[in-house]
Amino acid sequence: MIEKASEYMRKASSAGLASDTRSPIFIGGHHRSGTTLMRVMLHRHPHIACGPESQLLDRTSFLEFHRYLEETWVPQFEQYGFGADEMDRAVAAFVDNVFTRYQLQRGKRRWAEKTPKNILRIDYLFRLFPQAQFIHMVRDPRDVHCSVRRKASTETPRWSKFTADETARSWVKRIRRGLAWRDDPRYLEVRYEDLVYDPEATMRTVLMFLREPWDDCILGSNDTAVIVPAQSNANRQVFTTSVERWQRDLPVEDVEQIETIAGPMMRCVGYEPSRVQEDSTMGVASTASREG
Amino acid sequence: MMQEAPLPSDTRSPIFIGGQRRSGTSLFRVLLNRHPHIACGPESKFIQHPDLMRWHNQLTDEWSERTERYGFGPEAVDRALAALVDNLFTRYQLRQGKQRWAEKTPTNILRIDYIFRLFPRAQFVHIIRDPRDVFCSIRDRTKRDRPEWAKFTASRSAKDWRKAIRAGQPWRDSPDRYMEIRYEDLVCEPEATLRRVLDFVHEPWDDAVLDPGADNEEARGDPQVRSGTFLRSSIGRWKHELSPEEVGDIERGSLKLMTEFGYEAVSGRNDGAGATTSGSYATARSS
Repeated sequence: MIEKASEYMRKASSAGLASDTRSPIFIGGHHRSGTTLMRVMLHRHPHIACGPESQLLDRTSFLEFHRYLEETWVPQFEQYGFGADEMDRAVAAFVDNVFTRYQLQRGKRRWAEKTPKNILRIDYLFRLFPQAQFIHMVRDPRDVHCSVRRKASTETPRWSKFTADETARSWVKRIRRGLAWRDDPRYLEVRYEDLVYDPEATMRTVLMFLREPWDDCILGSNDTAVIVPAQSNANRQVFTTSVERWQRDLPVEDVEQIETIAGPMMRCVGYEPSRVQEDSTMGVASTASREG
Repeated sequence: MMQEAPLPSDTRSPIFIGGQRRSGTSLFRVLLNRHPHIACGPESKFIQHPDLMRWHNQLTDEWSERTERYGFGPEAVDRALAALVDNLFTRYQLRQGKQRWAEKTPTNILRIDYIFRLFPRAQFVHIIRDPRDVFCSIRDRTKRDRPEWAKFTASRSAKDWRKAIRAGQPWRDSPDRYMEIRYEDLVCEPEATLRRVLDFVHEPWDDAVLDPGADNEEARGDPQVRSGTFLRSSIGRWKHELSPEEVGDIERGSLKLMTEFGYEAVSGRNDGAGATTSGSYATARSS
């Protein structure tokens, strides 16, 4: 009897729960920042399944469902010696079930999920999956706004509500959310501009971060398995005309508005505001006038 | 498409225990929990919550458009929710060093269809007791510590009894997934009854199931079971405790089902000949 019990114990401890040790990949960032391009490239990798934008965790109802479980099930499971942590693991198993199923259908080893708003839920995602890795796509907010305007004038008219002011604010909000994780080895910022100018070098960095081997196929373009919106740039070869488009396309007032709101945060992630020159000149001028 | 990629939770075969309250489900869970392979923790009531189904449907509605892109049907949410539930009970099972989990909540019987929807490979044990003794026991608890049970009058209790039996009936055609046992058989012939159960769940016989020393800490604390395991005196107590009116209230409308389970009715027999039923409980089903 005692021998049996210890034998079972051994089996049990070696078994564990698969979803507890899962290391999924989450991709997030401001919309129009290349999250789809990143997802398509990662999905080409033989180990990684990154399906279409699921927005599953994006729904407030999902968070409300989790809250419902905390309120009704957690007290009931106290007698099992469980608390909110165990409920987090169970909710993670729910999410993991959906994406692991997709991953297995694709014959891959690991799943990734791309939804732009993931960046706003990064804390929650790491709470559910402590071993997750997060890729934050970052793009010059002026080009983001160009792209938003373009999209508004073509396929997504409802986006015309986004003013330069709003784009700047939502951009700052997302960058700030990521900044808190910058020292964490599970978090990586990828600049859209780097991905576009030097896809191979950038993706090598990404794959090193993900501890996945390099594979040439991620740069390829002749795959049919990938589902992306028809007009998406991600369907085409990586191209660079989308970089610094703002200098041609964006009205000066919009540029000013974005830089006023996002200036400090832009410097933080390596985008130089064009009005810096003016500011410092003014600063010099005022200093000079005091001297004079 | 779903079958091509089995996930551990998809192939899990948990055991669910249900039955009307005061029918011996707690006693049964403690016995099963003693088995070296089976972890059956305290009543979790997880499936009893009315909002669970509402959430399930809401997530299914909202996700269906998105999960279609993944080639999944609406059952994707069923599988995911099963994985969530499985995660909790498997964690408990692993902490107990067991191989399989079981869950006992009396109302499981009323959710049996939903349980099989979540866990197509589950096995269900339905515990059934003489409705007249069920009512005696409910009344005891009402006096002792459950004043809110006063609403369970004799006729209401009998109605609940029939409801539980009827919930299980459609599953009788699946003898590999659904099993009924009588409380009276469990008490009078524990070993024979438990052997049948273990056969049903494809687990080997183990003497531990009859050994109170095999209880884990948490099971030892169960007040319902501490009071005594196999109490034959709990059988047929209605004969001294219930008034003829109460017996009539219970038997009215339950006659056919009661006869089927070997619980011989005594009311409504004006010839005065059928009033004795002693001895029929343990033997009716074992023959």
